[in-house]
Amino acid sequence: MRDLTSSLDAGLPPTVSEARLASVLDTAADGIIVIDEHARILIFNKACEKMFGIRSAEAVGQNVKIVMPVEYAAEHDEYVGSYIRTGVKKIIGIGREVRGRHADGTVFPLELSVGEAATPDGRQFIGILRDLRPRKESEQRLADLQSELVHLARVSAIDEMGAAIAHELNQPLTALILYLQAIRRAHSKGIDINKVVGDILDKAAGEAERAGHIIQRMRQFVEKREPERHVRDMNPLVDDAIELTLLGQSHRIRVDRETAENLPPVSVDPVQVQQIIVNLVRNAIEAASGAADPAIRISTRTKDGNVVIEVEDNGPGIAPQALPKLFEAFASSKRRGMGLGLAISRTIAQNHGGDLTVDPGGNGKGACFSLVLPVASSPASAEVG
Amino acid sequence: MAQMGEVFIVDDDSAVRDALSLVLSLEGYHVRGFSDGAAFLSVARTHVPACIVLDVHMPGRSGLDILKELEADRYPAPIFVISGQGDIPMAVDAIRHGALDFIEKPFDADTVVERVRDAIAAHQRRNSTEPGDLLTAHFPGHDLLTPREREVLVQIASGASNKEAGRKLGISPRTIEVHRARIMEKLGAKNAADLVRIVLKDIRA
Repeated sequence: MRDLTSSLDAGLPPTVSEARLASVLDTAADGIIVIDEHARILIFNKACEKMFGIRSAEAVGQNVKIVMPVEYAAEHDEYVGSYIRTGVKKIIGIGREVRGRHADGTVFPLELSVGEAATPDGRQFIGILRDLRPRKESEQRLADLQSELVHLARVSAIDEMGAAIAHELNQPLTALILYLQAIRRAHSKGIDINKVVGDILDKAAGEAERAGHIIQRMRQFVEKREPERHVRDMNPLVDDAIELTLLGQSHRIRVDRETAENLPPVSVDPVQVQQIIVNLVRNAIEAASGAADPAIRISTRTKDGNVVIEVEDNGPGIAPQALPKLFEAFASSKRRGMGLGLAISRTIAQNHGGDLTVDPGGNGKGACFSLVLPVASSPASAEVG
Repeated sequence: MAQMGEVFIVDDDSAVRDALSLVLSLEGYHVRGFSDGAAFLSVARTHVPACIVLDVHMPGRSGLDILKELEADRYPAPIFVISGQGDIPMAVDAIRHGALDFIEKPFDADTVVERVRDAIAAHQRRNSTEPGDLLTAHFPGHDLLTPREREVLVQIASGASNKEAGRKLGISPRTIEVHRARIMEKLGAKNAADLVRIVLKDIRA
């Protein structure tokens, strides 16, 4: 067998198989590089020329380091040497994500798979390379869209609870107006309220704070923000979410809260996880509202290295025909809302490495949703933005 | 200043109850606050105040339930319900269950003082005057109407506008409109003229 590159370089007429191979190499959409045991480039196809901005004629014969960022380049010789000495495969037949360097200095992500061929001229390594930038971009775009949707669902939840929240806001505002006008009226009538005016003003200020607190909690919930991860104790998050939900609903309901002792922390985006709880609790309240003694139960506990949050109602359970599409978007049986709640909740749970499942109940038993979140591995490693 | 009369305030929100009590006490009313329906009912059944201000939106027993249990349409004191903004269906329901009128939240001190004062005055006026012919007349459907609806009917039949009728009875024109619709529905009248015709014809007959 003649050496392909040397025969092409030497300007000899190619054989049929050589011509065929050259055509395959140049037609391939992926970059293909063949190197020898000394990491010298033997083949550098057209896709590689475009990917790295280096002409094949310049690349062939050089060390493959020319397409690597400096920090990889230093280690590459060591990798090749180590494999040849020990036979331990670190990349061959596996494929992995690496970084490449364009001639203009741009470093970019690549997917690299490496094969090996034993030839009369010694071992040769064949690398197939794919530029990951387009994929990364579409992944990023998808992530952006998803985060936008998650945010929209929160806004829509607040929107649906709007009337009830307005009522809740009217309470402190009404009290505040009345306190201030009481002072005003007493003043214009010449009634002596000197002894109590300080108290009344303090109460008025307290009511203004109460209104502010409600608005602040709503704002935190609907604010547009980058997803983040924090190591948190789940119980206060759950309690806050329950409080926010009860604020926004008008049904009469009993809420049973069960918490396990020493619940380990989880690594979560607090607002997103609260969004799930708000959604589950709202659904539960709605489901229970027809019951004689409407009640919901929210428990937190540990199970198999996960923190499990259960939200159960004493409604009629989920109809078997509704179950297959329960977590699908726009499949809601409810009149209000877009039917995104459970779909988004499950997506959020899965983005956290967890899941959202349901025991549909029925036959006198209400539905029970379980939000499963993995326990944070260690506080230090999980605190990443 | 007990001569101003006693006002019962029923609201689960302690701040609203407290602030409302303060405003009405400064006007000279003797105020008693109740945080839930049960406590209020047990007192109101045996002791009739000059006026009642009741929050319609409460956890546990709702304002509507309380009105029903109290048999508000026959209760001998004016009852105001406080409702949230835009909660008109609830307010209309409350009026049908015997509330005199509703006050929308958030309200100011002037409004609530004026409404309470007018309602108490109208109530006293009503007690001191002889009931009109219509209030005692037995036209068909007479029994279907509540005492308040009969009062409103007297006003309508005598040609009063919603505004005039409201002023006379110490309630808002909007509430007169609610009663008017309800009366027409109960008596099967298609319009105001129809209403007058039904009532007067039967009295003459």
